[in-house]
Amino acid sequence: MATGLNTFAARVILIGLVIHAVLLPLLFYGLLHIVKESHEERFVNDVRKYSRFVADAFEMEDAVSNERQAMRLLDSAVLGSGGVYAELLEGETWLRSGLSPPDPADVYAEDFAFGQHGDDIYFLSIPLDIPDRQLLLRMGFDEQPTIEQVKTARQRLTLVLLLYLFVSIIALVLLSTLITQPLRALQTASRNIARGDHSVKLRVDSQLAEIRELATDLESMRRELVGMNASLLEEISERKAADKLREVAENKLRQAQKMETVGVLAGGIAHEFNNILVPIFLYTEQALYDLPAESPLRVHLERVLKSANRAKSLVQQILTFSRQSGPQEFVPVDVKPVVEEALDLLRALLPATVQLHEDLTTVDCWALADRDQIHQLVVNLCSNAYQSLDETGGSIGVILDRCTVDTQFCRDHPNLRVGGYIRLSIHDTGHGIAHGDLDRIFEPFYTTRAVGKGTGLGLSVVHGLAVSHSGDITVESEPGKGTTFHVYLPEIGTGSSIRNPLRTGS
Amino acid sequence: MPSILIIDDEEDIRDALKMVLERAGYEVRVASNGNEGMALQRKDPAHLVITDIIMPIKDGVCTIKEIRQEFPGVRIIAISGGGGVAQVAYQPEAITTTAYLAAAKAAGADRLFTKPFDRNDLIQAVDDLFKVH
Repeated sequence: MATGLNTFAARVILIGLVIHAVLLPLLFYGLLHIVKESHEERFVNDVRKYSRFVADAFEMEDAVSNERQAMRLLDSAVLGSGGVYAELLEGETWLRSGLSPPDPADVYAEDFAFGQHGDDIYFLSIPLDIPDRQLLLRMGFDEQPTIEQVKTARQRLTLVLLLYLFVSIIALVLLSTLITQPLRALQTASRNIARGDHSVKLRVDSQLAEIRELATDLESMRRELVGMNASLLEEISERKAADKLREVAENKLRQAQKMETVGVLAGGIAHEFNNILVPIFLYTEQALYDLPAESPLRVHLERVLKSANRAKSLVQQILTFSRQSGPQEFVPVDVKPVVEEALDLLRALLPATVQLHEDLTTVDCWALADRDQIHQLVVNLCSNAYQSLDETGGSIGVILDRCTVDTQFCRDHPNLRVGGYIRLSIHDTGHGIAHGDLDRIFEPFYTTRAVGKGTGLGLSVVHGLAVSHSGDITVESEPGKGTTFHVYLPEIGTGSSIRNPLRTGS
Repeated sequence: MPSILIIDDEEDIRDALKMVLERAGYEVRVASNGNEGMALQRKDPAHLVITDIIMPIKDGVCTIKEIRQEFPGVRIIAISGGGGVAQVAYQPEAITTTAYLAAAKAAGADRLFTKPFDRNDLIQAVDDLFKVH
């Protein structure tokens, strides 16, 4: 809250005081002068009239011939006027009533002004028009009552003006409050807005039209700001979402380029590798064929053959992987029997410590697919699940069902489109995958297993297969608890109503 | 003695096949490409020809066609390195191993093998073809 001399209230009061400091003394002395003048004029007029009246009495009644009668007239003139002094002069003082004149030197002066003598007495001399006599009537009147009246008037004037000053200051304070109060309310509200609370309405209860208009304008500005803010926030979040999408797309592109490079490389390597494997197989098998059944060398040769077989299966994986980049002819396939077939094969291969649970109750799971590739996809995922189990065993669950993919899910998985999908979920109770590895498990040759325990190709092959089927694969894992893979394949209705397959990247 | 002609550009594969088939009791001769193989066949026809498909100078498919033309009674086994050639990824229309094998079959090959193959399967196939012969 603003304080000090810079505030509106302080300025108004200061200006008010300055104006009053100039005007009030002027007013005071002006008014006082008028009051004083009028009092004095009335006094002078009154005493002149009275003196004239006394002089007339002397002239008409011929009182001067009788000394006693003249003395009585003088006495009654002093008494009647409440005056202090009256005398008749003929050359020098002849008759006198009341006090002695204070300054005999001034006795014959013609005119006197009010308040000129220190004794507060007003002197007046009138020559009497009486034949044969040189008579002068001289009277003294007390100025004190008039002076007192002026003094009283001055006190009252001071009181009134002080009262006026007081009232006007109060009025100024009230006036400034009338302006500052609503301004402060607006200030508080706009500070709240600055602090981020945009919902505060800028409204004031003021009698001043200007303030009300200001508040209305500020309020419409606030609304505008709130609207702009909202649209900005929306724009930012849209841009963020777009950035995220682009980032995902860029990652996918990089991934695809990587996959393609690896695919090209892998195709060439596989060809050479198969050539190299031919003599290994042939010589080893021939040697086994030739050796007697009891020969200790058989064991060694069988080990060679086992390794060669592993190499062969690795090359097969590489080939499947490298073939993903070529065009593929998909036909409507019911995924369910393919999965069943693959599981039958796996069941024969898995040790007794591993339980295979399946839930394949969903029927008519048609997708545009390559049968063999779906078969391989199931086998790869299940053998991956099996390898994640430790020696004491565990369980592998396979579920086939349908689901609908919504916009939100598509945003996270750009390979998918909104619509119906067949979902193959494969769950294991193995050691799980560390969070940091989850992003990379579908990369070719990326493996968390010990050297020689896995090729690092199995999941990238599965990923490639899922994507080439216009689907996708997702993974959820909790280290120590297990992992679930979901493969999504676009559903195509049942057999007859086949819609066009959605190709990725087209 | 039944005779077999082996055509393959890889010496190791030729030698291994030769050894295995000789031990199985066949007379074996070898050539490193189609032209060489055809020359040998014309000079001294073998009863069965085992040929690789992807080879320099003259590839397996051409060789099979020529043999079929000149020696209609000869049995032919085509073998191919599974996987194919590097261009596959660049050219979607490029012929894959499967396509090569299909071409070999169309040209007249009796049996198809994908490298690497099992010795016993090969012997079995050769024995069968000679029985039919």
